[in-house]
Amino acid sequence: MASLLRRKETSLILIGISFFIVTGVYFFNIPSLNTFAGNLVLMVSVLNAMSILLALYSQTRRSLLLVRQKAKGWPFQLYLVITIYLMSSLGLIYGQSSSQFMWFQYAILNPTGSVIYSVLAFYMASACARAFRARSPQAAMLLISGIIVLMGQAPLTGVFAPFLGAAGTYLTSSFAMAASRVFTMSVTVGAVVLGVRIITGKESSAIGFEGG
Amino acid sequence: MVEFYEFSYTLVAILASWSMYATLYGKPSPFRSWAEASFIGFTMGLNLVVTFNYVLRTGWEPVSRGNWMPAVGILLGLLMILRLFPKYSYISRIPIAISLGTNLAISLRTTIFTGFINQIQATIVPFWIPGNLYQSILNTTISVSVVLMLTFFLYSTELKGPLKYTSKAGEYALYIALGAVFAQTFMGRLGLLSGYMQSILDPAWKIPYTFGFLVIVFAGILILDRYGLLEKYSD
Amino acid sequence: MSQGNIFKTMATMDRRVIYVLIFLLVLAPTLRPLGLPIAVSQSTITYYSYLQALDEDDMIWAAWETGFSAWNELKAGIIATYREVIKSGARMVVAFGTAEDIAVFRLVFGDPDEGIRGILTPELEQYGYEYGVDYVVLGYVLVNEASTSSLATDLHGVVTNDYKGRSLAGTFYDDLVNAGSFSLIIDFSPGMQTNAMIRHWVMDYGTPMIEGAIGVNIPSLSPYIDTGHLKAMLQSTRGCAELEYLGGVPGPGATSMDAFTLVHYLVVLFIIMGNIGYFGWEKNSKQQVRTAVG
Repeated sequence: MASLLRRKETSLILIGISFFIVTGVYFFNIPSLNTFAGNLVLMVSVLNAMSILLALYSQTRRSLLLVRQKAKGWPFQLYLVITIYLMSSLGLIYGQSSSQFMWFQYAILNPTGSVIYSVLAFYMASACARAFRARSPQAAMLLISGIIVLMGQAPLTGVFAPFLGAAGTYLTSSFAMAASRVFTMSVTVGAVVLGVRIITGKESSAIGFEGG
Repeated sequence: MVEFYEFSYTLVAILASWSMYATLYGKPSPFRSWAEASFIGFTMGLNLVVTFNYVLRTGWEPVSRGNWMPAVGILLGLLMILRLFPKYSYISRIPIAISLGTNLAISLRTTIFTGFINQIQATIVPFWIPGNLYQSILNTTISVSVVLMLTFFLYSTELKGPLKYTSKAGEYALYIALGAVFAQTFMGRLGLLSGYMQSILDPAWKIPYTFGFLVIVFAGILILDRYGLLEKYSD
Repeated sequence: MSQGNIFKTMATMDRRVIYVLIFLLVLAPTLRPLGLPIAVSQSTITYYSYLQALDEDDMIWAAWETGFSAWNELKAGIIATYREVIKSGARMVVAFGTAEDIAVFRLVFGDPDEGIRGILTPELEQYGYEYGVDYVVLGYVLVNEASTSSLATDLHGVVTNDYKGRSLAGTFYDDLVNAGSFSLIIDFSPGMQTNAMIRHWVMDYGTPMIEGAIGVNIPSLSPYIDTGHLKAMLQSTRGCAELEYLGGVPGPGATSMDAFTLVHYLVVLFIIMGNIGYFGWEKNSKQQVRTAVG
């Protein structure tokens, strides 16, 4: 049994069966197949959600290792592990809608979660002053485009200089949108190619086998 | 009169936010280390609880209605954990394979349309729309830019002849696009900054605590830096 | 100060000065609003028109995926949007895409069971918008693409009770089957399940969708406006402030626009000054500005 499970072909067969069950409903109108496919997707959503246990184990193990080794900053690692289990316990004991559970979200997660991303505004402003240089025609075009869109985005600009607002809207609706479209199409083609390679067994690293 | 509940979490929130803003000082500090550890720990705890409830509702509860298949997902999820133990990690390939096949089926079928075919359809638009000069210019710019940028991304062939020039034009179009994208990204981050600043300054009772904790945190950092203790007490 | 020094100063501006200036320009207008005027963009007008078209017969799938970070960016738009929904009397099924959204939702709608008031509680009371009759909250169900896809095909197969574990039997939820049962999807998201909803809700069932997008996601979601998958998009804080203006109830968005304007102009000034410094000093100097943050 173990040797069967270790084989690459077993994994590929499972990938193929689950793939064709879910796509088969669009080719065959069989009620029991429809129901089974729906349940399969639901089962996989539960399975995917449980991957958080991997993260929990990895984080706990790493933090406790650093604490045991008395590595630099070990008190913070110990605090981290305590907060994980404190928060989990509060939620499981009092419920996820309880005031006790919400308190920590408002006190810790709201500020830290917001600040950790808003700090990028400072870094971007610093980059504008210290790193954005028109060293080449391409860089100059990037800067000019950025300046026009920045001016257009400022709400006051639309009042005293509507042409700048319109120019900014034009640049975002045309060039930026075109670039996003190119990236979207490229990523989609890449995703489809990768998916086909996985299903045909050419890309087995996704299931933990080395090589193709 | 502010309730103690709101008062207490607001105070801790203000301290946590300035501690996180200590990142801008440029050196590690115990305040920042505390804020980061809190963020990671409490986020993980929150996600554990909410995911546990989701798994119970969606995986276990259907069993009472006679549908046992979602519950198999719980068993497979537990099998996936065996990936962490080298002796039994081969067993984790079963749930990974099932998940991979199903997710590919779900996403590939539709992404080909939304991410590729529909995008091409939206690119093939009339260059001239009578009575609407702006839309005509927009359509022309989008269609031409998409083609030019695509030629820029051709890496598997030598770019010579007309391709060389279209690729160059595509590069310029891409840089213009990146300038616009940068501005939009900055707008988003600035919006988050101003939105969060509002939440710690409004209503007015929060203002003295906001500035008070600002002084406390940055004075603490400056003092620790003065005596060379920042590195010692951070991670 | 010599000319070379001026250019050098411009090129090597201390980053701490930059940070302090940004803080000042964000804090000052928040404490004392300047009341600078704003212009409303077409995308917000289009978004607002979808809200204006709502009535009591409409059923909305309200996807809350913001978490706290995107909440702070989009709160003006979220409040303005759901104020319009409450006024219209359209019924709503609320689904969360992140673990933090239960807390975020409570900030806006409160928790009647625990006597907690939210930002929109006055509107809920004014228009008699009741839980169980006009809206239900499914909770954290937009976990991944598989769950989003399952919900699109069979709502009752995925969830039959609300976020507090109470059965939804006997509510309007009984009449809902799949994504086609809804007349509009309203999604506020940093991009969690937006693409999945476009693929499985919009593409398969044709349900119209409007989006409140954070600034980072605007470029990646714009192609879907062009293809018609997204009908309208509220663009970050600015779009939210414009929506607030159209709705006629001033709030956090209007206040933040002063800071928005000032910091945008400051950043443009930084770019221009930095490049003047570059051409006047840095280009001909062996010394170069090392990094943006160091």
